[in-house]
Amino acid sequence: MKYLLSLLGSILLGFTMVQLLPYDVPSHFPKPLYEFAEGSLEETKVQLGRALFYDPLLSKDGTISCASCHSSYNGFAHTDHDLSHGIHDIIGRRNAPALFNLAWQGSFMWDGAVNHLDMQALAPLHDSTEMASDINLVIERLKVHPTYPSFFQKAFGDGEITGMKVLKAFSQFQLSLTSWNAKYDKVKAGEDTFSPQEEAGYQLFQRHCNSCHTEPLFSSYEFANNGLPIDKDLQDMGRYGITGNPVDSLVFKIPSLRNLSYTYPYMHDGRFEKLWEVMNHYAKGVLPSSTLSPELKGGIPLSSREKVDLIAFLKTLDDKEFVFDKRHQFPRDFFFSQNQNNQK
Amino acid sequence: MKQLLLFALLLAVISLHGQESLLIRPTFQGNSLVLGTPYELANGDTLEIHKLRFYLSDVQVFRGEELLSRGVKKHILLDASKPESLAIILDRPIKGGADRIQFLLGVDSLTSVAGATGGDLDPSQGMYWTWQSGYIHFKLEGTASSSKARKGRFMYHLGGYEGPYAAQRTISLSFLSSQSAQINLSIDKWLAGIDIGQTAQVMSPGKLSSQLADQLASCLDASKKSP
Repeated sequence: MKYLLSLLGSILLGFTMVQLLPYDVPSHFPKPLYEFAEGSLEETKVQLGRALFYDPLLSKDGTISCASCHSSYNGFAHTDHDLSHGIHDIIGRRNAPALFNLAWQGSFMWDGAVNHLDMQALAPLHDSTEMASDINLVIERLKVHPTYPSFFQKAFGDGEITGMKVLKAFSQFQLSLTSWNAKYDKVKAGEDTFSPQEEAGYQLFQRHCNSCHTEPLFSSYEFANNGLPIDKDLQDMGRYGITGNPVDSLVFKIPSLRNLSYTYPYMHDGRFEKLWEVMNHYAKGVLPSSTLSPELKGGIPLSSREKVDLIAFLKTLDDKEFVFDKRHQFPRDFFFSQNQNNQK
Repeated sequence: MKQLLLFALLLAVISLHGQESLLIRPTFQGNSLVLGTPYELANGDTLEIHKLRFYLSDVQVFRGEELLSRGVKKHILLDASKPESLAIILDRPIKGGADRIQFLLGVDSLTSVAGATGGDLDPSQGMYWTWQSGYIHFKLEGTASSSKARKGRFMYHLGGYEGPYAAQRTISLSFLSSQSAQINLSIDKWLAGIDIGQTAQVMSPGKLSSQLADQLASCLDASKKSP
């Protein structure tokens, strides 16, 4: 019996031995919402998810990957396009959002259509204006691929490729996209100080912005109507399209204000190129309506000086360490060693 | 090694001995439903069923208030094209005066918000909406002469797990005798409540899908053992 137990034990150990990546959330952050199966990130799954994220085999015609619209150098948003571009240059209806600190978000997409990070990848994968693909098509392609089956074997302990494993790998990579090393975070940790102008901007932020763009994530990740006039061509009613509830008309998910220098253009339809335009919108462009966020009634009174100060503070939320982190970029090793294998 | 084999054999024997299955039988006009067969309805409509797939969750068999047995799997995907999927494997035999069975037709809301899962709930099963999160609890597709959609198709996908239009339903059915370990789902009765000519497609949560889910509940019975 003892022998049997030790045998079973070693088999189990062999299967559950995973290399964990630390998820050292800074002390000024709340606890993540995402429930990690192993209590933290798993290195091999993160790397598998990263390879998939950059692999155009996901899209129907093999032309675009997730990274086509979510570029690491732009905080995983896209700065050239106001609306996302899919296969065959089809132009979508919304601005590709930045991807970071996803473990603190309970819903995804500008209208909250997706209820869990694991399930998010299914939306762009299947959307006919994005990748126009299918999870089963992806699984079939991965199964006959020269390197992915052994990658799945390594990451999950068995080589069968399923929808769940593809989605879990995506989640693991996306969960590794954490932004908490901006100047603001260093100030919070007592390692840096705001300039007088940044400090003045911080005061303004706390007075006028913090109720929706809540510290330290700089979003409550709730939904709100921020008074943008509707785009006549897009006719996008936001969350109303999901819930069918009139109170959700023109209501969109509140984005984080971190990394704004890298993630322009702004808003769900990418209508503003510059932070100046955003300031001007809140100061005098807010359109009254029955679903307008009550905090924005009458707009936010901001003098020119105050706008400058506020922007100075917002720049302290830029996180260069995150945006230029090589661990998030195109995995050269994976794709190059794959080519070498193919040539053999 | 010998010990391990013996252990495995013992496990297999125990689990087999403890199992009993409960058959879910989709019917059409009183007989077992046959996919791809033309049926004629009373109103003159000719109709074929091509796809019937649905989830059952938390299957429980009772005698009075006493829980006798439950489904081995929490969530089961039933598929009319796979007869073996229509037999619910129970953890204990239910002989001995079982008088009621209870289950959720569909997937519960907690599971619906819990992220990616494998097996019967794997999104590659084609029972998950990609444009708006949530499982398709029940899916029926086919063709009908009255349908005005392309190629005479009809598609009914009932989904949505929260709010007023949630389409999962808790079902409780009485057994007439302990022998009738079978549940009939009358597809023709359900279709009689839909005007296919007017509505050939239901593919999002709403008033109609919620209504259709209510009607589905009344098309199930465990009271008679069918031939």
